[in-house]
Amino acid sequence: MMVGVVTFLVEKKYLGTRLTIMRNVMAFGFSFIVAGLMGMILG
Amino acid sequence: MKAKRYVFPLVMAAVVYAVFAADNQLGRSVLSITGSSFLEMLSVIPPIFILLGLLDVWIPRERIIRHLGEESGIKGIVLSFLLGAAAAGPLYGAFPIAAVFMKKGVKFSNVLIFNGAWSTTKIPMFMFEMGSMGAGFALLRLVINIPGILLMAVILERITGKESIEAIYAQCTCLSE
Repeated sequence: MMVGVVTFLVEKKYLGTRLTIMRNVMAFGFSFIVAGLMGMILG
Repeated sequence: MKAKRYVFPLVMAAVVYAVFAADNQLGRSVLSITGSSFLEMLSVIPPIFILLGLLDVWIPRERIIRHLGEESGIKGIVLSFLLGAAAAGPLYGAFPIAAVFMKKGVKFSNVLIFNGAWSTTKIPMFMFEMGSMGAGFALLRLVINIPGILLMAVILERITGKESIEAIYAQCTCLSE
């Protein structure tokens, strides 16, 4: 969803290394939360 | 510095060559993915930059600050979501737009909301999702994602800190001149 590994270098240029890493890590974690919730509700 | 920017593509070209040597079939699919990504960038980046130029010139800073700036409140949040959702194209297209937003004085959390909305609530993608995964799946994902985007934007703004945010604004202003 919001995680971009290949675009890390572009993102870093705009948002800086620290924020880019934090944003991607959070988005990665959030993906699991979404997946878990959707699995619970739909499954 | 100028030559440095070509290091990564050259390394990747060597990797593709190695993949070809190891497995011809795999090499072909690598090359075809590279080709389609390249075409995607060629078709997405120029229109975005043209629209960005127009946005930069036509819309005055005061108006943007009024609707999306520090004091914009709920209206700014909703507008950021709508702007992100109206987008088409991959996330890397959102960063230059975010940079111009920052140059124009958009609140940092609204920039992050815009980025989040762009990546997960794009309307064209949503339509496709409704068709292929069903309306229930698509709507549920939207309902879960919207608070998540909001929460992540607020948390990221908090933990980034005032000075870093100012540094990012300065960097983005410089990049979008």
